[in-house]
Amino acid sequence: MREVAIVGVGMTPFGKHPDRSLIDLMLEASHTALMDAGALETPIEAVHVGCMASGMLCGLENTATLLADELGVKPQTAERVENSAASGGSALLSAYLAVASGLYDVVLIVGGEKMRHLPTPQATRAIAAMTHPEGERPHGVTMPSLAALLTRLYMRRYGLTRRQLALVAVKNHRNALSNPYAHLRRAITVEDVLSSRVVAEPLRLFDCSPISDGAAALLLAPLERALEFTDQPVVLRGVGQAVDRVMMTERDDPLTLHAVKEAAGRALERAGVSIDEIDVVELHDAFTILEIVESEDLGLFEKGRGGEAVEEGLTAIDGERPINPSGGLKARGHPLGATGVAQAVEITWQLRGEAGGRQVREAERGLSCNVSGFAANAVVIVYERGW
Amino acid sequence: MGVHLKASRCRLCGALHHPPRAICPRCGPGSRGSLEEVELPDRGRVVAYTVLHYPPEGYPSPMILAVAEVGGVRLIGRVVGDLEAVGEGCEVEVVEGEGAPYLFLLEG
Ligand SMILES: [Zn+2]
Repeated sequence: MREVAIVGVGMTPFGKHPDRSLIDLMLEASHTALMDAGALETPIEAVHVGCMASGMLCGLENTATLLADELGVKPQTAERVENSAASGGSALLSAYLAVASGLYDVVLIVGGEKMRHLPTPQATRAIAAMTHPEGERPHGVTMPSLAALLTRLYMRRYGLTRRQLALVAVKNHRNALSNPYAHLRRAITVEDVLSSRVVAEPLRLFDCSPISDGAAALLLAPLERALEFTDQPVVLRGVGQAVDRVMMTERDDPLTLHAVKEAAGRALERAGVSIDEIDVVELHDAFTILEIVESEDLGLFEKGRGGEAVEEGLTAIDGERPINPSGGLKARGHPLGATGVAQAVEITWQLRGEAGGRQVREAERGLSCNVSGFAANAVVIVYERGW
Repeated sequence: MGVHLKASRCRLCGALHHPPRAICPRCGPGSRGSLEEVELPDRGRVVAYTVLHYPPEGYPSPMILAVAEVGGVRLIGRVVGDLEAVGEGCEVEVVEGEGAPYLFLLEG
């Protein structure tokens, strides 16, 4: 396997884009990534699109070929990867395999979703399509309700407080203030979280990531050719993926996200590093509880310690274990298929030292964790400076 | 009137599944043909619950969703009846429901 590097990145601001189509958003992110890599004239051999539900949300399929057509490239491969909310991470993984194997050299990855044009009940229904079709959906199960049930179980076993949970949202909103691409750029307090409307007890509106439009893109090349495009290539040092039972109720212990744990173990092992050597983490905080549980399952904190870690400031940008300097899904926003790609874009900026006011000091190694379903599938990637 | 839901039981490892399955996820593809149909009891106990204020279209708001342990299987379902009385550990009856495979009835 060859070493693979990110040589160009781009994204649209996440948020509301009422006047723009999904393809238009993907086009902007892609063009920005190609410009970033100085690759506007370079033949692109493959286009991998991560998008969960263009059919349900936008009445559009065939997205990858359409994007290639609009972008004016003529790749050998153009395809869309669907892995629900980890479609972006999975698209990155399949593109990585294409380059690592030697099949292709220059591959574009684009994650995108357009969701805001639908009324919230319809968008919620599209998102709930990732729940179990017989065991969950007919009962009215939504993603927030699963997160709420997990929160109840977690609070009872580990004594997590409502305030600790709120502090995840407070931190991520604070981080997003210095992220021009973030959907929610507004500082909030614990009181704001605790007085926001109840979505699914004990979770409130500010515990949940917003519904967002947006796209993000990456250009990959083999490390041996990376300097043709950039003097700061970011190496994909290790990748890992794992699956768990779809229904939370069928997991032996729902308080451990085994997909996250196993995917992280695989990615770190392939990278040959321990979690203690990771300087910055972008993880999948679709709900505040998920940041806490994932931080433990990635190995950053002991099981049950995630809430205290937030309270002690360990996960802040200047803490020992910075998590989601971008603002995370909570504040950067969560256009489903775009998220996994946006995480890689953020880690690239962090390792290059281009993250401005949210820069983690001397970040040399990063990790991203993108999950699908209710953490039934996880993609974890370890990144390292390649210069 | 309680209902006895049909579940599947793996003859290889004893695991119960609801909804019923053709293959036991613990034992893998080789377990096809080794599952039998069993009936679950019509009573269970709430393990965790949430009050959902933004349910999907067509569902009442607020509505209570609970995970209940029913004869060794954890099921997720809507709670009906005396909603004030809901709590972790309380007993529910599994009943037929309109628009749902079953409901959890809570008697006050
Ligand atoms: Zn079995």
